[in-house]
Amino acid sequence: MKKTYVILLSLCLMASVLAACGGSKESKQDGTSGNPAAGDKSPIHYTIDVLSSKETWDNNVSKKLTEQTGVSFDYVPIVGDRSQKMDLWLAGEDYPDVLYLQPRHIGKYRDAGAIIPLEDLIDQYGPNIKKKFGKYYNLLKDTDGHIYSLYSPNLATETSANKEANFIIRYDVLKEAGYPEVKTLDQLYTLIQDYYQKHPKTEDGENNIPFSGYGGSAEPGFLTNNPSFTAAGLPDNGNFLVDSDNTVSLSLVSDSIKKYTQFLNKVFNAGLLDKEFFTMNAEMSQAKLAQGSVMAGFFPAWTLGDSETALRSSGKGDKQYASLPLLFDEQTVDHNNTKTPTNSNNNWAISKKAKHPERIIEFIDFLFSDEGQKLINWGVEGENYEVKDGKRVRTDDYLKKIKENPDAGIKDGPSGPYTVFSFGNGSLLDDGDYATPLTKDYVKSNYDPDTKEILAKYGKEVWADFLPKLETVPAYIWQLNEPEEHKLELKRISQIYLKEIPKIVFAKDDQEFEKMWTGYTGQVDAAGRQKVEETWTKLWKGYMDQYDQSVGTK
Amino acid sequence: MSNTHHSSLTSQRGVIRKGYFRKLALQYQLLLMSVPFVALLILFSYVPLWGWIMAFQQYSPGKGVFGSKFVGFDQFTQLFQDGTFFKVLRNTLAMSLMSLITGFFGSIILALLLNEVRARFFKRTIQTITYIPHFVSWVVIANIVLVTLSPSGGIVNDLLMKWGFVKEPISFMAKGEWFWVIHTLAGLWKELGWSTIIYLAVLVGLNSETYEAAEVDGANRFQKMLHISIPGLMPTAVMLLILNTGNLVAGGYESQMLLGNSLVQDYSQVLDLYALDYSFGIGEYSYGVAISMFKSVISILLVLGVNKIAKKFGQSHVF
Amino acid sequence: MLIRKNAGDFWFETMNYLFLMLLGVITLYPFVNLLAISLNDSVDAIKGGIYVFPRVFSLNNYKIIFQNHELYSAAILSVIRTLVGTFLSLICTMMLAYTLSRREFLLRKLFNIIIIFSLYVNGGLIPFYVLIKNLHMNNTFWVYIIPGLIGAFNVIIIRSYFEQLPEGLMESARIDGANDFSILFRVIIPISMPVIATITLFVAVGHWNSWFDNYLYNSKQSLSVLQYELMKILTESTQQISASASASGKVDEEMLKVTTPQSIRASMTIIVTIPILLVYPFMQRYFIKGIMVGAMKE
Repeated sequence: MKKTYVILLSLCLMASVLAACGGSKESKQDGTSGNPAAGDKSPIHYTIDVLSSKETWDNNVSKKLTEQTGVSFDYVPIVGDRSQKMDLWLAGEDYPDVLYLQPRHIGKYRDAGAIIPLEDLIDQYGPNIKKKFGKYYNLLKDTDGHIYSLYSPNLATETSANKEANFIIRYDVLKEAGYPEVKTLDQLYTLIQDYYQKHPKTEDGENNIPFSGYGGSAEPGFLTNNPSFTAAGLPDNGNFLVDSDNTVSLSLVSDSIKKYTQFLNKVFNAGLLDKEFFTMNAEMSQAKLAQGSVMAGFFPAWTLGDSETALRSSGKGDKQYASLPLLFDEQTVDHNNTKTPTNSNNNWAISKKAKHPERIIEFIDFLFSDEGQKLINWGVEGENYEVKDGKRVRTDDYLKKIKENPDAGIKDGPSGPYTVFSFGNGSLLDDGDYATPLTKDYVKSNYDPDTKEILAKYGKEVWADFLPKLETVPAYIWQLNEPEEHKLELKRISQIYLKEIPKIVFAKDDQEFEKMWTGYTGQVDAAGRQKVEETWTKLWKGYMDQYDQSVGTK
Repeated sequence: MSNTHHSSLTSQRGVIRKGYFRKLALQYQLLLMSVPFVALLILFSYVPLWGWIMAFQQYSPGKGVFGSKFVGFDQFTQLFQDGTFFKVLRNTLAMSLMSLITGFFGSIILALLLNEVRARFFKRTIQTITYIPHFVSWVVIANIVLVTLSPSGGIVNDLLMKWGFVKEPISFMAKGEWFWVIHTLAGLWKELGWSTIIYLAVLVGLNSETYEAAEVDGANRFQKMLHISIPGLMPTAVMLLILNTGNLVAGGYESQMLLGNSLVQDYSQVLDLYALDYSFGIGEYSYGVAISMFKSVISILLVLGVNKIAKKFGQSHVF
Repeated sequence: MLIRKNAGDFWFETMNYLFLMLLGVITLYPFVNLLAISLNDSVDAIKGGIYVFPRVFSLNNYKIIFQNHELYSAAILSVIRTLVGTFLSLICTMMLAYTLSRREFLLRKLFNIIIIFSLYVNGGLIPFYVLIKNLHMNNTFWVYIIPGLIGAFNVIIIRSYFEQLPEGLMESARIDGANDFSILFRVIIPISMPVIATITLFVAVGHWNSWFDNYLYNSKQSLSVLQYELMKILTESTQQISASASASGKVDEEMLKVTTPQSIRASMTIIVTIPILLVYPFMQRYFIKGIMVGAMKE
C-alpha cells in the first residue's frame, strides 16, 4: 500500500518536474484532471494567505474570476506580525499553496526550496505577463536568474489623482495671508510666524501649534529624515541618498538633514515648535490635528485622514490641511514625485506544495489582460461600474454602498490579494480609459466645499496638481534585499540619529548647533558610517548594472 | 488500594536501607501525582531549548538549524562588545529593581490596610477596583500617562502652574532622569491591586483566634499587624521576592516602548526591546537567541543567590 | 487608656478609608476613561480630551464590534476554554504541588529545581512552534490546555502554602488509612481555599485573556477564542490606515471609517473586563472560608 503510494507520488512529481522544465509535450497526456494544457478551466482550489480575516472568496469579483479561470482560493489570514508568521510557517513547513509575501521574505523561502521558480511556467502560460512587463520583464529575476515571485508592472503615465505632498498648512492660515504661493520652508516660516503673532490661540481657546510633526515610535523618520530629503527634492530612499553616479550615502548625516535640522532649530528658538515634537505619540498628533490647533508641519496624507474627518464632522472644514510640496529654496528642483517600473511590495510566490502551478500562472495571466484589470480594479460591469460616454465610472449604487459601510467593498467589490496586480492609478488600458477608478474626476467629486474653494484659489483641481511631473526611478534602495554585512552598524547609527538630532534641534545658538552637529557626525563616523555606505553602494551599483542590462539601457 | 497503602506504610521503616529505588517504588502514589506533570513541563519548557543552538550559528529560517553556518561564540562577543548593551542592561536592572521594590512593599501595605477594613462591602469594592488596571493594556495606560503629563494641556502641568510651583510647563517625558520614576509609578498604578490579591488570600488564612487571642492580651492594631499579620505574610512575600528576582532581567519592553521616545532612549531602552530590535528588526535571529540565553543564565544565578541569602537569614526559600 | 486607643483607632480608620477611597478613584480612572471613550462617537474621540464622561454619546463602537458574528461562537469557546483549562490546570498543579510539599518524597529536590528553572529558560518561538506541530497539536483545542497545564509559578505558591499546613492533620488522615490522593482532595484542599481561589483566579484570567496561542497555532475559525477575534478587529482597523499608505493598489480616500483603533481598543477592553469583574465577587466568598484554616491550625 505504502509502496504504491510512494511510486505514484514520485511519478506525479516527475511529471510535474517535466512539465515545469520546458513543458515537454509528452507530459500532457495523463488524463483529464491533470491536463496542464493552456486554457484548462476545470475547478481547482488553492490556499493563499491574506492580511485581513474579513476577506472572503464569496465576493462578486472573485466569483467572476473563478468563472473565467476555474481557480478559486481559500484565504488563510495573518493577523499579527507578518514576518514572524512567515518564519514560523517556513520552519514548520506549514505555508499555504500560494504565498502572498513581501520581497524580504522571499530569500528565506528560496533558500529552503519552499517556492518554485516560475520563468518556464510564465514562458508557457503567461503571454500577457510577458507582454505587460515588456522591457522590464527581466527585473522579475532574482540574482540566480530564476523568477520566484510575481507582481505587477507600474504602468502609470501620470501622477495618481489622490496623491498629495507631505508638508501641510492649515486652510485658514493660508486664507489669512491671502492665499500666497508657498514654495519654500522660509516662506512657510514667515507665514506661520505672522499668523501666530496675531493668533496665539484658536477660536476654541486652544493654543495654536505653529509647527508640528507626526509623532510615535512607529515612524521615527517622519520627524526629521523624511522631511529633509523631501525638502531637498529627492526621492524616498529611506535612510539613504543616491547621487547621480550611483554612490550611496547616509541620509541621516547628509547636508539636507543638516539644513532641515537648522530649520527646526530656527523654528524652536522662535518658540514656534510643538512642545511635544519629539515626545508625543501618534494618537496625540492626531488629536492635535483633529482639534485644528496645528498650523503646519510634515504629515503624509495617510496620517491626516481620520483627523480631517473629525474636523469636517465638527463643522471646521476651514481648519483642514493643504498638502504642499515645500523645498529648501527656490533653486532646489523637485524630484520627489516618483514611481518605480514595478509594484514589488506584496508579491505572489508559488510554494512547492501547490499542485498544477501552471493553473496559478494562468490565473495571474488572466489578471494581466484588460478584462482581468477591469475586474480587479473596477469590479463587475453593471454592479460596480458602468460605461458612460465611453468612460468607466462607478455606479451610484456601489458608491452609496461603500460610503455607508467601508467593509461593503470586501463583499461586493474588487478586494483580496489579487488586487496587487493592478497596473496602478494613473495608468491606461488598451481601450484608452483609466485602469483604476481613482481618476481626477472621481477624486474631485469627493472633496468638500472648503477644499474645493481653496484649490480654486490656487487654480488647481486636485492636490496632486501641486506635485511636479511623475518620474520613473529604477527602484528605491530600501526595496533591495538588505545585505547581511554591517546590519548592526546601520542599526547603531540609526539609534545615534534618533538620540542626537532632537538635542541639536534644541541648540541655543548657531555656535552650539555647529558644535553638536560635528559631535553627532563624529559619532556616526565612529559607528561605521563608511563601511555601511560602501556596502550599500556596492549593492546599489550591482542592482543598477543588472537593471541596465535587463532593461537594455546599456 | 487504601489497604495496600496502609500496609506499605507500616513496613516503610523496615525497608529504609534497602536501596534508593525500592524506596522510590514505595512512593508510587507521589510519583504518579508528579512524574507525568514534570514530564510535561520538561517537554514544553526544556525540549525547545535545542533552539539555543542558534546562538552559535548564523541562523536563517530558510536553512534551518542543520543548514545554518556555525560561528561559535561570535554572537556573544559581539554582544559584549556593544556599548549599548551595557547601557540597556543597566536600564533593565534599574527599572526592574524599582518596580520590584515598590511593588513588593506597596502590595504588602495595601493588603495590610485592606485587612483592617471592617466594612466588608467597602473592602470588596476597593479590592476589585484596584485590580482593574491590570486588565487595561499598556497602550491605554501609556496614553493616559502621556496625556496627563503633557506640557500642553496636561493636568499635572496645569495644576503646577495654577499653584505657582512652575512658570513654564515641564516636559516630563523629555527628561531622561525622570523616565525611571514615571515608568515605576505607572507600573505600580497598573499592577498594585493585582499583586495584592495573593497577600490578601494569605491574610485571610491567618484571620482567626490568633487575632482574638492577641486582642484579649490587649494588643493594639499595630501590635497585631507587627506580630501576626506581617510574620504571617513573610513566607509568601519572601518566596515571591525570590521568584521575581529571577525576572529582573526580563521585564518585558512594552511599557518602556510605549512611554519612551527618542529623547530618553538612553534611559528607556531595555534588554527585551534591544533583543527584539536586533533579532526581528534586522533579521538576526541568532543574536536574539544569544541574548535570551544570557538572560536565562543571569536569572538563574540571581534566583540561586537570593535564595541562598534568604536561607541564611532563616527565611522561606524556594529550593 | 481605653479612650486614647479608641481615638487612635478612629484616626487610623478615617485615614485608612480616605486613603483607600483615593486609591480607588485613581485606579478606577483608566476604566472610566475607557468606558467614556468607548461610548463616545469615534471620530469625535480622535480630538482627545475625553476623561470621565463621553462628549458625543454613541453606541456605535459596540454595534460595530458585535456585528462580527464570529464573536459569539468565539465567546462560547473562550468560556469553555477557561472552564476546562482552569479545572484541569488546577487539579494537576495541586497534585504536583502536593508531592513537592511532602518532605519524604525522594525526587522532591530534583523536581523542585526542574520546575523553578523552567520559569527562566526559553528556547524561542521557532523550536516551540516546531514542537507543537510535531505533536500534531496545532489546529486542535488541546493546544490551549496542554502546553500551559502546569504553571511553575503556581506550583510553587501552592506548594509553599501546603508546606505551612499543620503536619498533624495529614498524619492522622494517614493513620485512618487515607492514601495520598484522598489526603490531598479530602483533607488539604478544603482547608486551602483562599490560595486555591487565588490561583484559580490567576489561571482563569490567563486563559480568558490569551490569544497568542490561538494566533500562532490555530487558524481554523471554529477554534477562535474571543480575545483573538477582538485582536483581529483591532489589528484590521489599524491596517486600514496603513493600507492607505501604500502607493499602489486600491485606496479609497473617501471611505469614511466607521470607527477608529482607539475606540475599538477601548470598547474591547470593556468587553473582556466586564465578565471578569462580574465573576470576581463570587470568587471573593472563598477567601472568607480561609478562616477555617486558622481554626484547624495548632
